Amino acid sequence: MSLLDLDIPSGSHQEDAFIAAFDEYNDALFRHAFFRLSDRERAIELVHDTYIQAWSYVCKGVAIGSYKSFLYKILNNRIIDEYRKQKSVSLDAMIDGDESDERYMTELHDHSHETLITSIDARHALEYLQDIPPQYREAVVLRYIDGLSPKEIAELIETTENVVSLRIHRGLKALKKILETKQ
Amino acid sequence: MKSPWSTYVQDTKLNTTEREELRARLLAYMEYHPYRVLVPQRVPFLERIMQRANAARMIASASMAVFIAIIATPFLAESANPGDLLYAVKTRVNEPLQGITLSTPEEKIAFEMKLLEKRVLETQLLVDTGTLSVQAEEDLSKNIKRHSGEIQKNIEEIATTNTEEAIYAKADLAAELTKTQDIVTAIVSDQPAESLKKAVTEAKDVAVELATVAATSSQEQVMGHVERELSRAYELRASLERKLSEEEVTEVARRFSRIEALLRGETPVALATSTEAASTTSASSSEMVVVQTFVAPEIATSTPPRASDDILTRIKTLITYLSNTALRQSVPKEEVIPETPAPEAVVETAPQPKAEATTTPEKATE
Repeated sequence: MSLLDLDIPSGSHQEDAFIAAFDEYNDALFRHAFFRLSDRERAIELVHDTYIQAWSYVCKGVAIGSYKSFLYKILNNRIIDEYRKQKSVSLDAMIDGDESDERYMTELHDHSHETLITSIDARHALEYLQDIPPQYREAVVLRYIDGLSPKEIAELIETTENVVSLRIHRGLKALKKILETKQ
Repeated sequence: MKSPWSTYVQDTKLNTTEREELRARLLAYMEYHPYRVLVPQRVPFLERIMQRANAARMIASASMAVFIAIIATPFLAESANPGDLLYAVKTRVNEPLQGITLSTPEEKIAFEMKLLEKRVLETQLLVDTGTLSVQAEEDLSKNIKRHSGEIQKNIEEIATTNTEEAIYAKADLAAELTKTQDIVTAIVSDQPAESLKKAVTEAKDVAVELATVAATSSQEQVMGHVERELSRAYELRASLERKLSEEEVTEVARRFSRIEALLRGETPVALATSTEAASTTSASSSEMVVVQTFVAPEIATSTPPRASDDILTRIKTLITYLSNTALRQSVPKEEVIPETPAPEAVVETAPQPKAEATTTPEKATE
């Protein structure tokens, strides 16, 4: 267990823990923001804003159990806000069908993520991440770039594991389709 | 969990410059928005109420104690005697408050004279009960000086508007302090109360000197007053003709002869001679009283200034002596002077023998 996961009561410890969180997660957060937005400068700004907002919460006395999930949550919300600024279309409208409908769960059984991911050229897939719907992109990035498990992703984006798995699956299918079209 | 894409995404990260710049911006923000430990002061509601009630109760108790002290202290001080803890409250707070309504200097002088008499009575009381301590002596000395000082201050105030009255007031004061000295000296004759005797003597000397100086500058006015006062003295003596004891008759005659000698312009040596002559003829002095009541002695026109200065004081002293004698004849002593002090006034001092002046043969011959 790292220092970042401990409850730190005193002021100086809070500052030390926060700086340690910056040192440990700044690259991961940047990477996530970059692949979600495909804009380096904007990604740096969002990472900066994420840490600023996190420190504000710390100063208000918010108890932080895990800096990792806390920072990812803030960054994810900021990226969603960024999408809303860029596109007027509702993000939910870009999703195919009702994700809560269990009929779509059969897709996962037929085509597992492992099967799909190995069939996709990773190098080229990263180039076309921007072409898949944002929520699929979010799930794929969190899963295969940030390395979070479907459970962690579900907690982060406040949805169920099944929905997360579905979005990953559909995101990978969309990437594959784009790559096949380009080739 | 390591994904198949990990290899391709590892190089996607902040460069050193970007990282350092980001860190610097973050540290600057943290410096302007430092973390402060917030310790919630959550006191239960009932405990807060109790705390406030306790504080209010303490304040009320303290206020009541102060109020009672302020109200009760003057009452308790009224029965204090010289040497007691509350005596200062009696003389510095109670007595000035009693005289607070007095407006004219004459009223204030009369008030201070009464306080002077009170000090004499207190001296008598302490001597009678054998409780004249060093502290009591000091208290009495200080207050006697203070009263005489206050009287002189008021006399000076009178002098700004009425010089003649001021002269007479000074003479009255001198006479009063002379009487006080005589009484106190008699009271403490058997006591080692040197500081008290000294204080009274000094006060008297100052008063006499001031009276003398004042009279010197207004001789004609003084002589007129001398005549009036002398007549009054003769009348008083006539009224006490058959009530005086042998010693008192001798004393009165001695004083009258002194005054008459001064009026004639005789020297102190001559005064001593005339005094002896007067004292040996007690019967003839009563006849002299009858004659002198109707025939005022000739007042020397060329009376030396010093003699006339002294005359007025002597006459006033004599009048005071006769007045006291008349008072003693009519009012028993016990009604004026309390025989026993308040219980708190009894302090542990060495028992002093009571002065029995009227019965011892030695005292009678003085």
